Amino acid sequence: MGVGGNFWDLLKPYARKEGFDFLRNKRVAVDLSFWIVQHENAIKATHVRNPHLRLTFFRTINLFSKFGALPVFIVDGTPSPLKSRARIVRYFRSSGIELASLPVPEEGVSAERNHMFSSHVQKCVELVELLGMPVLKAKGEAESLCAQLNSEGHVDACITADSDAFLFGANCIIKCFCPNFKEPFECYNMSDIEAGLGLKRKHLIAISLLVGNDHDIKGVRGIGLDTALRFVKAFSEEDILNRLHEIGKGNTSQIPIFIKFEDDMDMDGNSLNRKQSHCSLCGHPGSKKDHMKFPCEFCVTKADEGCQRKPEDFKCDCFSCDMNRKHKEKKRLKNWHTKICHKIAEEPNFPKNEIIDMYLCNDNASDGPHIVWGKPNIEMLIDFLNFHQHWEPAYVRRMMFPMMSTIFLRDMTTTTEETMLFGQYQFDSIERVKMRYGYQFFVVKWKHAGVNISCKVPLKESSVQQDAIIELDETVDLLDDCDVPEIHEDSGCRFLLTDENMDLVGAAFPAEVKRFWQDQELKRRKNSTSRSQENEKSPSPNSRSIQLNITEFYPSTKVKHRQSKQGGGESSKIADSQGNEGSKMKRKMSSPDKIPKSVRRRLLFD
Amino acid sequence: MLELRLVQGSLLKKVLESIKELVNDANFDCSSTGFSLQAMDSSHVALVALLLRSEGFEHYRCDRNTSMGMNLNNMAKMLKCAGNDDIITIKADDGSDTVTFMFESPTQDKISDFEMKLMDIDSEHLGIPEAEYHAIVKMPSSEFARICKDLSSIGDTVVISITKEGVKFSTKGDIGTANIVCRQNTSVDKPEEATVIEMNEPVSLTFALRYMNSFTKATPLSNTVTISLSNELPVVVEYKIAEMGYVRFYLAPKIEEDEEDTKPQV
Repeated sequence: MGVGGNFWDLLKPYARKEGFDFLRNKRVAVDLSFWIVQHENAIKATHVRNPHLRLTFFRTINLFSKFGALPVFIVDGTPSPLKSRARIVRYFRSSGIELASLPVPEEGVSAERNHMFSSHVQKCVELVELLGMPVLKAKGEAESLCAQLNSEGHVDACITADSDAFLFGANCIIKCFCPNFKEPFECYNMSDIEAGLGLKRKHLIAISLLVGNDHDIKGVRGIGLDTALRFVKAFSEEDILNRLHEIGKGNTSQIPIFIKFEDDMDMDGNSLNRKQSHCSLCGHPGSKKDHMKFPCEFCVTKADEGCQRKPEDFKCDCFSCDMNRKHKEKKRLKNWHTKICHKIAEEPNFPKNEIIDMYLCNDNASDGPHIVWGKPNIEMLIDFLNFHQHWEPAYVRRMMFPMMSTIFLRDMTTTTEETMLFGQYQFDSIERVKMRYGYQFFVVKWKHAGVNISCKVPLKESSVQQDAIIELDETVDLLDDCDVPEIHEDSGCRFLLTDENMDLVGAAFPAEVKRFWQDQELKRRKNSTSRSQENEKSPSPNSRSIQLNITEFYPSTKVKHRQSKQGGGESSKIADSQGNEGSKMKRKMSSPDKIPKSVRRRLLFD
Repeated sequence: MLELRLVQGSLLKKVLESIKELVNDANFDCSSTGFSLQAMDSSHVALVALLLRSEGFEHYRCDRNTSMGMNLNNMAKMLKCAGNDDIITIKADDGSDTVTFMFESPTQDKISDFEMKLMDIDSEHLGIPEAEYHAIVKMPSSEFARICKDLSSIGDTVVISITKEGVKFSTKGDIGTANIVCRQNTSVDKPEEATVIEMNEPVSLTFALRYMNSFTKATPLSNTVTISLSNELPVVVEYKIAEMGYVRFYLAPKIEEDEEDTKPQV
């Protein structure tokens, strides 16, 4: 809900679309009840056991493992009496019951949320605590504590669709948080709003008081968002709330200083205006009689002609007329402000100090901020989910694996101690690079420490049974992109494959990453080499014979031919001797052949 | 000092045109017996041997054996500047790194002087024995050039088979096969137009046509060409150079990889 009217539409131009990496290593405050309401609205028609628990479980794992965020869950405290009354009014409106029969609760008494909703919140709190996430309880609105943590620097962003968070002091709000990677975050920064709209926190509070909010639905009668925006902008942030108080008391002389200042100036201008009379013919200062005889200085005509007749919609440019127009404009603005002030003054008990104090309160936590991310309590988590969701222990461990591997890799960046995941799995290797929605991941291979051949069959059976159970919940998986680790069997060993952030793996196992890239480079070279070999073969597809070398047939003597006398002599001698030897051998081999005399004579001659 | 004077200078021009396509750089060896050269192509598949005997020169002076390394392309450019009827003189001093080509017109009214730098070339020298061949074919050089040119448009290898019926040139390619048979004919009027086949035993060898076509660049040197073959030995394609020498091309054969497919039909 938050600020009334179309407040989010007002902020729409300042939305930023952030990619999925935006949340990596960021602490984010999550309004838990917002998640629960969102869950139930989305899956109302589906028959799923405890959807709030299921979706909180998977969303937390995704937020922690896939997005790399550090969530802090904020739980609503007791709502303020004003909010309770506003909720009752909203309920009566929607149900069509007459407002006359509206019950009036006693002053200062607040109504609790309905029992079922509170029970859901309690179970989710228990779940996220077992997951190792910090949970804080707000005194009042959860978004008030979210905003306070953001303002004080304990968290980097708030995940909420409630625009109240800005009024509570938030700096960064993530409005749309889709569980999968496909859609970007819709992110709003207070700095953008201040730069673009000129509105600061107290300006926003003033607007909500005028337009309406969770605690006062109607606001001031007759003032909408545009009017409120225009009115509020005329005052400075420090001044706006005090002015509202003065106006509420009936002091309608509260006018922005710049209007008042210029109003004083206009008094002199106004007196100047009366001195000037204007010709009805040409519209310039002077009288008609004078202008009939002699043309005025404004009309550029010949001396013997009179002034020209003024055109239609003529506007005089003389100094007094300009001042007169400005004076009228200021007067109109003053009247507008006076009218707004009257509307505000007519509102009884405006502005409500309880609302202002609530928005400006900087002490929203039940306890001091205690934000620590611990390790999940796997055994109790297994019991909890087995009881509420009827999940098998193996299934819970498998679903928890991405979160545990993320924690393991983070621990490896700080400690050199070799520990095991679940006490069973250790880092084996980087399998490959994977692209998901435009981002690169390492597929990491985790090796089961013990070789338990006998455990294969029970695990497979358990997996099959769990798949049967998953089918019942299959429709809900569309809401949350569950990332189940892949099981891989290889020569008796059991492996799990997970997608991990590249920077995280690089920080945890730098040597492994370096080796992986070197292997990739070697593969690339081999591919290029084989490709070049193919190129060499292709030019002669018809060649079916092997070309021999001339040096295979004649003895070779490598001689350096130089112009020196000795070199030449040596080379010729060696060549002669080689030739002679070859000739002799050839003659011996061919002597048995009988060649006709004429042929022999010709061959010798040749 | 080296000084060689060749009245029929066009012979040297033709020699260079015939070998420069095959060989880039070569050493010219000069001795008292003559001007010679032996060089291989870059892939060592073919070998060229040149001999110009000293008796063929009008003036031949060679005080000591010397070797001059030359880039044959550059030498051909030098010799292009000589007219077809010019007298060519080659001069080089002992230990000099240049060679001088002098071209004189027949009427001595124009004398050109070209000096070219020599190179240091390390090259292999192969001992070529005086062999007796299984078969020798002597035919008009223009005919041989035509045959090689025609076959190279069909395939890239040529099978030369010699039987008592004649000599057959065969090739096979993507578009089909080609066979050219030349029978022996000795009854022609002009001796240079005769085809003479002397065969001791049948021969069949396969060669790359690309090299054969390079050899036929020497066709202008001689009207006849002599092809000498022995089974499993390189072929020798020889062109005589007037009365003073020869240029011989040696080409290593190809071994059939699959005999069934490439066996020529007899």
